[in-house]
Amino acid sequence: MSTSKLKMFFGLYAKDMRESIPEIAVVATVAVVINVIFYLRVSQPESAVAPNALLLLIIPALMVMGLAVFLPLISSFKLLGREWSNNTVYFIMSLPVSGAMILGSKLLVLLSQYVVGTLIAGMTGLVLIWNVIPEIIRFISGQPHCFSLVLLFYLLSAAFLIYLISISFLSQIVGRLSARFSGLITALVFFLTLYIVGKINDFTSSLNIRMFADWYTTPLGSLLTANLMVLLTATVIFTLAVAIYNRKVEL
Amino acid sequence: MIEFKNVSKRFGTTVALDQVNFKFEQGKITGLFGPNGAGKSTSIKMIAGLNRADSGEVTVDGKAPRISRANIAYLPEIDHLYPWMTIKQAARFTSTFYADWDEAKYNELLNFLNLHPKMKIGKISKGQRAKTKLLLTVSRRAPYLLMDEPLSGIDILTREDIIDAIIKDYREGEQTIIISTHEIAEVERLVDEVVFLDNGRVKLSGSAEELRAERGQSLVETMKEAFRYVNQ
Repeated sequence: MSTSKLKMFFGLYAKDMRESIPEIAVVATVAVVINVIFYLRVSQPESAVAPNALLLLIIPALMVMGLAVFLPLISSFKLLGREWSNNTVYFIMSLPVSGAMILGSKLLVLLSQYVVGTLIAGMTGLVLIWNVIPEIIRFISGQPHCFSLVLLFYLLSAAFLIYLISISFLSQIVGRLSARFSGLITALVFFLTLYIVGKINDFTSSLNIRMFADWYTTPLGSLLTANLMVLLTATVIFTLAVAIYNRKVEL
Repeated sequence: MIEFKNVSKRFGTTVALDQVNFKFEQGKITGLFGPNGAGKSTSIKMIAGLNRADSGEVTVDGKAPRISRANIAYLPEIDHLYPWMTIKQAARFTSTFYADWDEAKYNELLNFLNLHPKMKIGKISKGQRAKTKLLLTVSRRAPYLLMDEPLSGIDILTREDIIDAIIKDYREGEQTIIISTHEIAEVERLVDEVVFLDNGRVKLSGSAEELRAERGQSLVETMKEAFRYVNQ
C-alpha cells in the first residue's frame, strides 16, 4: 500500500471536512432563507419605493456574512476539542504524522468552510441586490481598483480568520497540557494572546506607518501591508501551537 | 527491540512508573500484567509515543517512540475510532497512513470476525467495536503490535474470537506483540514472556514457560503469589 505525506494530509483534511458539513449546511440554509425572506419583503410594490429598501438589502447580507465569517472560528474550538472529548485523539496522536499536519489540515478545513460560506453568502446577497437595485452593483463595479480592493479586503478577512484560528489552536493546546481547568486555561490563553498580540501590533503599526509613509497613503498599499502583517503574526502563533503539540501534549 | 531504561513517570502525586528497566524481545509475545494502577497502560502509551518519560528513556529499535510510530500498531483500551465512520471508511482512513496495510488480511479478518464493512462504528455493540479496533490494528503488517486491555468488558465468546484472531495472524520471530491485561488466564496460552508490574515497578519478569516450570503453577497463580508477597 503506497502512502505519502500529501496523501496523509488530504486523508486528514477529508476526515475533518466530513465533520464540517453540518456547519456549511447551516450557512447555506440561513443564507438562502434570509435572502428569500428579504427579497419577498422588498419586492412588494409598497416596499420597493420605500426609503429603507437599501437597508433591507444590506441587513441580510451582513447577517449572513457575519455568520459565514465567525462560524469557522467557533468551529475551530469544536473541531480540535472533540478529538479529546470523543477520545479520537488516541487515534490521531498514534498516527505517524506531525502536529503541523494535524493542525494544518484542520486549519485548511476551517478556511474551506470560510470560503464556501462567504461564497454562498456573497452570491445569494448579490443575486438579491441584482434583482432589486441593480444600479448599486453597476455603480460599485465602475469604481477604480474596485476588484483589487474587494479582493484584498476579502484576503484580509481570511488572514484575520487564520490569525484567530491559530490563537484558538494555541489556547486549546495549552489548555490540554493541564488535566484540570482545561477550559478556563484555554479561555485565559485565548484572550491573553489577543491582548499581547494587539499591543505588539499597535507598536509595529506605528513603526510601519513612519517607515513606509508613502506606501500607507494608498488604500491598496495599506490593505496589502495589513494582510502581510496579520499572516506573519498568524504564522508565528501557529508555529508555536505546533511546537507545543509536538513536544508537550500527552494523553 | 523495545527498551525501558530507568523510566519514571508521575501524574501529579501519583507515581505511574518508578525507575523501570526492561526489554521487550524482538519476535515474541509479552504479557504485561498487574493490578489497576500498576503502570501497564502508561508503559504501552509510552511505547506508542502518547506519553513521555519524566526521566529515563524509552526506545524502539534505538529510536524515540514518536519517530517509530509508522512501525507500531496500537490498540488502546478506550473506544478511539470516529463513531460516524463505517468500518470500511475507518479502514480506508487508517490505510492512508501506513505502508504496511494489508488489504487481503483486512478482508480475511473482516469475515473471520463476523464484521461487515457497512457497519457504522457508533451504532455497533461493544464487542463488535472491540473486534473493529482489533481488525484495524491487526490488518497492518506492523513489526510492533501494542494491545492495551484488548479483552476488557468483552463477553467470553468475543474474547475467544479476539484471541484466535491474534494467534491466526501472529508472525513468530518477526512481530513483537505486547498485551497488557488483567485477564491473565485468557492470554496465558499466548504469551512467551511476562512482566508483572505493581505500583510502577517491575515485580517479576521472565519466560512464561520457565516461570511455569520453575514454580509448577500457572501464571495466574504466580501473579497471585507474587502480589500477595509484595503486599505483605
